[in-house]
Amino acid sequence: MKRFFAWITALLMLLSLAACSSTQTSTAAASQQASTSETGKSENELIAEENDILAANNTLWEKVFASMDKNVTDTTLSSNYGDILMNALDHAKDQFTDEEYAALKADADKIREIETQIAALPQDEAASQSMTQTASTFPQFEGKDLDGNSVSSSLFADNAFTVVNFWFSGCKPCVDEMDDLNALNQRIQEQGGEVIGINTETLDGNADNIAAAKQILEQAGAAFRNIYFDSASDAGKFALGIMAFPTTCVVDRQGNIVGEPIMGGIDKEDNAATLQKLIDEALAQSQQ
Amino acid sequence: MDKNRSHFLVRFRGLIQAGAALLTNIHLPNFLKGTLYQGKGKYLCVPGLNCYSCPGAAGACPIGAFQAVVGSSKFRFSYYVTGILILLGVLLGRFICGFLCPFGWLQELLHKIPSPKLSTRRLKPLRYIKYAVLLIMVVLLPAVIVNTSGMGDPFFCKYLCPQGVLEGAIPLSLTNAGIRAALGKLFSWKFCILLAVVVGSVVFYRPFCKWLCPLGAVYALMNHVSLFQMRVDRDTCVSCGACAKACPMDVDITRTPNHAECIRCGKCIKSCPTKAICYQYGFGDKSKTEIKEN
Amino acid sequence: MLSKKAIVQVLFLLAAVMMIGYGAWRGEAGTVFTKAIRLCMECVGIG
Repeated sequence: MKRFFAWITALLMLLSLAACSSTQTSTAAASQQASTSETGKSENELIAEENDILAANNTLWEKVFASMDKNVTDTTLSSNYGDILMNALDHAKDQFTDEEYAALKADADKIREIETQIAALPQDEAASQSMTQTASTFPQFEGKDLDGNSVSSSLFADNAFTVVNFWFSGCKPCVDEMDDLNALNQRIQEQGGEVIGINTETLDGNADNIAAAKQILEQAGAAFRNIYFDSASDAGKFALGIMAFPTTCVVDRQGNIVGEPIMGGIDKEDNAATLQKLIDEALAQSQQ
Repeated sequence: MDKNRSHFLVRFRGLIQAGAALLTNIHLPNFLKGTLYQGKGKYLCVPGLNCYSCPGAAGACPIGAFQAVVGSSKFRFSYYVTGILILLGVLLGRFICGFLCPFGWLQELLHKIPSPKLSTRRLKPLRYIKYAVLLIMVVLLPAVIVNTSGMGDPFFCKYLCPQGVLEGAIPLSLTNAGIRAALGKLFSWKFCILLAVVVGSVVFYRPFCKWLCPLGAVYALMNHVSLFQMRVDRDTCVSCGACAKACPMDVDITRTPNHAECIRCGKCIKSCPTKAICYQYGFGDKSKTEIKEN
Repeated sequence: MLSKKAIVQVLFLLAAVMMIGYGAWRGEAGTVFTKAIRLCMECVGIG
């Protein structure tokens, strides 16, 4: 009997260890299906490397991003992301000390190299990627915003990109990121972007819940549009299928969800960086 | 409850624990799907410490539920969950810890791993930490430290509870890439706590139950008025002290049969050479009935 | 004749049932439900 229990326990421990290591190597695991570059790395891994580089000097890069949003043009979008960063860095040069500038420049160089590697990846991967992207279209909907104005999924076509945020009134992390989402909404307006909130408790136009949601938005000073639709609709099922809150995804002009939805508040640095990356991707797609 | 039935319960305690853990997390396919059960069962609380973010969870964790209500913008205290806890406490008391709690069971299984075992007899003052955890992290902080909308964090769940990592974060992150991507510093911190409890459980008997568990604290308080009691037959007791020696929770059952720390595991019942100890269920003080009759 | 402890036990049971009823009536059960059916990121220690 004792031995039996010892085995079970050992198994449990092994499981938890496996869980531990899998979190550390999650990026590698996620990219296993994708084909790999000449250096043996897949696109996902390379992108993860880029993110790591940016994360290392996060606060400095944020400054660069802040100055960059205003001068996104067709040419910058079609060129190497490392070049874009380099360009933006030169524009914002005077905000940094020489050392900081040198560090950022080195980062941008590294990213340019990685981008070149990504560009050199076999074409079939790019094709399969775009296929998975078209496969994850944001479901069609007809609904209203919380003030009663009609909206539909055609709103995606009006924006260069749309940041869709799923939340519910009892979710503290969701409520806590409202002011960040509002700031994001204002910031991306110039780029033709918009933040749309979907409170899953307001689906079907539940009056009490709409009032509660409006009050929270008001208290947070959030002015971006929040919408609802029928829970029986495709979009309703999609929204109710979301398990983790908050979840944020980026939808391009064609109505496709770009990349993977982000789980957790975008007020966290990592998530903010991922979101920016998705927005850049969506912008690039909208320009095509 | 007669002596035979008491011995029966003690004998099959391991099976009852396994069954309770299974019933509490009955929605097994969700582990593979990486989703949560979203049915009506989640209106109710399960008796043991069992995270409601566990894919298989059949009901809400009472401690998590309490913090959810207290931390919401609408309420500052939860009558609903307190009522459920008092009800369970009066009906079963810390029998829940010993027989029904999945996390208690896990710690016991870990304790079966061969290793040097350390006594907790000298660490009795640490028992009071769990009351502080209950009062501060579960009752006060979620209600007091709030954002502009009046919402508070579930402090115990967020910063201390190892069960959430074990049942929620780990299984969900195994099947869900998005959640894997979301694991952050908080996960590392709580994974360390889980690891500490796991290692601690191998050398100590149920360290989390003894020192930290706020749910155990509630049931400990309710143990004094619980219908589920211990009875020591004074006639047959020979005061040999075998029961106190066998007690993994450091209780002397002959002196305090309804001690707050007694989780009704029945090791004393097993150890008694004269079979003087048994479970007793019902209203009134059952520990003294035998003496009165004499 | 009920002992003192038995009376306390009965009172606790009554209080418990009343608290559950009152709490459910003012909507606490719904709050528990909405929290319990969704993954509470901060609860389980994710992010």
